[in-house]
Amino acid sequence: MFNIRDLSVRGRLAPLSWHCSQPGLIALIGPNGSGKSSLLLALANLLPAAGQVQLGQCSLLDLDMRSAARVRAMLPQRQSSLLTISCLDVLQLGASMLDVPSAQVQAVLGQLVTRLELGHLLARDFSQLSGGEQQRVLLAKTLLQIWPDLNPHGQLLLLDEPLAGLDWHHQLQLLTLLQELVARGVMVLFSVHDFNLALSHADGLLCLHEGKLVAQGGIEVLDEVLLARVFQIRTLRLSDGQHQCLVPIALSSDTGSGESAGDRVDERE
Amino acid sequence: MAVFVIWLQPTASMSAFSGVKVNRVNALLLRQQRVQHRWLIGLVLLLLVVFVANLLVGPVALSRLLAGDALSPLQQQVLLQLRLPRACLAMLLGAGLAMSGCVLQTLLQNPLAEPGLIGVSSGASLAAVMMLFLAQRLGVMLPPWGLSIAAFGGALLVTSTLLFLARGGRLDNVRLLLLGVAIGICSSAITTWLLYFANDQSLREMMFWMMGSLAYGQSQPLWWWLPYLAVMAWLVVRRDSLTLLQLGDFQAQLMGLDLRRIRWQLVFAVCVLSGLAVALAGSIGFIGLLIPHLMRLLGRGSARFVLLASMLAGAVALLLADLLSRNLLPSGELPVGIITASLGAPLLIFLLVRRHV
Repeated sequence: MFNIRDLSVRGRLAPLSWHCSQPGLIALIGPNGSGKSSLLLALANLLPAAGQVQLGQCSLLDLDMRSAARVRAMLPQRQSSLLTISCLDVLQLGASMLDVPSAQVQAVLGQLVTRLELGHLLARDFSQLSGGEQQRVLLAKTLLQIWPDLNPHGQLLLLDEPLAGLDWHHQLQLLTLLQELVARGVMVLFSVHDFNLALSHADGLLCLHEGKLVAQGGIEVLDEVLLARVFQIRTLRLSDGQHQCLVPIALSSDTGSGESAGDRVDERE
Repeated sequence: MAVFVIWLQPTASMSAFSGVKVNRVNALLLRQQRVQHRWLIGLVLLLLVVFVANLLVGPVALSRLLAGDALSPLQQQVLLQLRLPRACLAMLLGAGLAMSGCVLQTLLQNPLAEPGLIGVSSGASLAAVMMLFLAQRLGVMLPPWGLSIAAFGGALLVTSTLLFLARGGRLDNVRLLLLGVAIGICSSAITTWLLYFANDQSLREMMFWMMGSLAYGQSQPLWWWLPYLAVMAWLVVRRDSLTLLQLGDFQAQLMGLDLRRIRWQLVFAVCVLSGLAVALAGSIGFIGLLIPHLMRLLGRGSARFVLLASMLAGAVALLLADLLSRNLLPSGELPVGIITASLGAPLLIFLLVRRHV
């Protein structure tokens, strides 16, 4: 379904290839500046990139902006507005390029507003909201653009740190919604710094380090060894049999263990 | 007016929802649309009232026209040859300046953007002042259209320079603003030099020009207005692009807007509007800055509404300013730019203090 072949961005991202046969919730991890945002921007067709990205029947990098907007939606990192604009107007922008009757848009918008608990924000000025509230409104706008009931062509959702600034309640609420979207056939790629949320909800993992793809596969790839290698930290895995989490313990000064960890990761690739 | 009628027509979706239990989103949308419609209707009515007042009030009173009495030949001459062209001029210039401000504030995501900020107005003013200075030095009598041609040439030169420097996407919005500010400072510096060396007569003319006046533009032939009207109509037609730009150019691209093309089309449109405005009436400040803010506050920011409301409110504001400029002094008239600045600056300070801007 989703096939990336030798995708590269000059000066930011070394050629990387990845294949995924069915929709999934894919966590994108890596240290700051490792190329996560560049990868998402390149996939969104907003950064000049070389290589091929095949999504279903269409070649993503060859699409013009208007066609790309129908196939993919993206939430960029935190963005605000200095101009007065109501949250309702922000949300409506999400469906502005879809040729759908506005009654249908309003129905889906109503559902999303209810599910993301945005009802009390609708009439307020977007520029006056807190960071977390702005993030939730922009998330709803992005989801509206790709929501299968409105956009049957939508296949890819790219989210750059969507959980940043959200409390646990809203983080879990969003992840549940994303899982639902995956079940309806949308591939979701999201960058995240909270490994435990990735562990508990994601289906797969891509790990970038210094512009290179250093690990990929199922979510089980995310372990202490990978974190030691890429982030130079020591972590402790806790488990109650059903759930597990990783706790950061200390910075790792032993580079030897990092190298051996890298070997193990490469084997999994 | 035709645009306004189209705006008011209920959409299929609105009628489909009537009789159905509407949820919170639909209720809010309908309420927002109702408020915006009321404001637009109010502005149209206000525009009609102020336009008629502009025709009737002045040293030669024409109020008997309201009673249906016939006008004397002198009164007819005053009405048809002086006040009507001047009122039309004020209406169109006010509408165009406010639309330019609205477009620039949205495009540059900067609440303080206005046509003067990207250097176009100051470039046009400089060219006009330079023409006055040269005419005085060479002892040449300028034809009435000479200043307007010079001002439009100045605006065009600045626009071309901006477009040339920004070709191939080398200038982002912040750099474009900074370049505009730099060009404005250069123009002001040269203008000050020229003022310093000008004699008393041309100094008075230059100051009058720099303060803005509607006395020059009335004598221009009608075809002068064609590009101006065409650009205004184009902006109204392309208001959906402005809607997409409301959250900045990055979000607009995510929504499928071809940013590189539309950005320069909009900059060019603003340059034509503000360049021609300076060419016809000198430098008139604050309309482009303030009116879009006020309209954004009324309509909670929907770009569709703000553009149309700014067009109407800009026309009202400049008509009112012209009315005051012609009637405040018992003899003679004040430059209209003084009125817009005197009323606009305190209002802007008020909005800033109330944190509306």
